[in-house]
Amino acid sequence: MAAGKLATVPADYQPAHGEAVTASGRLSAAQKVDLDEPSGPFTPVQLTHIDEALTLSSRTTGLDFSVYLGDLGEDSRHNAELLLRSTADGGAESVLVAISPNQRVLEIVTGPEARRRLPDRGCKLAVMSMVASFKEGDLAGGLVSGLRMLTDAAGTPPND
Amino acid sequence: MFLGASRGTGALETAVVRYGTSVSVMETILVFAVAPLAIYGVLSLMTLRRKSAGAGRYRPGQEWDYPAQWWTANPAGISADHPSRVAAGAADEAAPQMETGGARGSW
Repeated sequence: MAAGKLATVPADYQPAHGEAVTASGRLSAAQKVDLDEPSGPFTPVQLTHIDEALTLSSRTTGLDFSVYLGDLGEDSRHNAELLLRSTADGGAESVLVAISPNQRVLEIVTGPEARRRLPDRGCKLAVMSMVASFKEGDLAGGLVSGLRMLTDAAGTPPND
Repeated sequence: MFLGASRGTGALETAVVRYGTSVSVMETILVFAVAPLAIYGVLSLMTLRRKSAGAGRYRPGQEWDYPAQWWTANPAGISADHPSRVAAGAADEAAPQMETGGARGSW
């Protein structure tokens, strides 16, 4: 169709629901607006709490905290480590909390530098707390409290 | 005023305050039974409505068909001296295995 020409519909066109043929022969149709909203079982308040906890963790400790929520596949540990390595710096100073609700598996992966600050013992403690909440179906609450525990275990960055 | 009135006229003007001569049984039931029941009914309907609306809560073991999400800290909320590191891309499978730590659990 050439530019500037009016696209018209045949005279015997039957407008569908939400459509109307204007006087000039142009078809005017109403379309549903699909907002790009995050899909998930979380309420906006819960999402805000998670965002707040993540930001506070990263700011307090100086480490890069991130939360992955999705399928991890059969080899969940390997896939979680791949996710960590896909972050900048190879994930050296990153802490990844990966949750796979389908496998009901929770993985916390710390990079080599982050591991010195955040010992595995602190991670295990946070995992136990989060798993206890997840068992009750409280994903957001467990996530927030787990992030707080990880933050406490890592502490503030050393002054050098 | 009571004193002033008695002084002026020399006689007490008494006003009789009474309730309605008769309150029917129907009015009593309406006030003391139907009205509280209506309030209870409205409140219970409000609780039912709130339960049915809103996003479904996660139950352990339920099918998870939401798209995968990966959240990081809000860059605006991190202090300026914190180096900004955003996701760089896909991991290299052949990269040397680094010493990662952490923990795992299942529920």
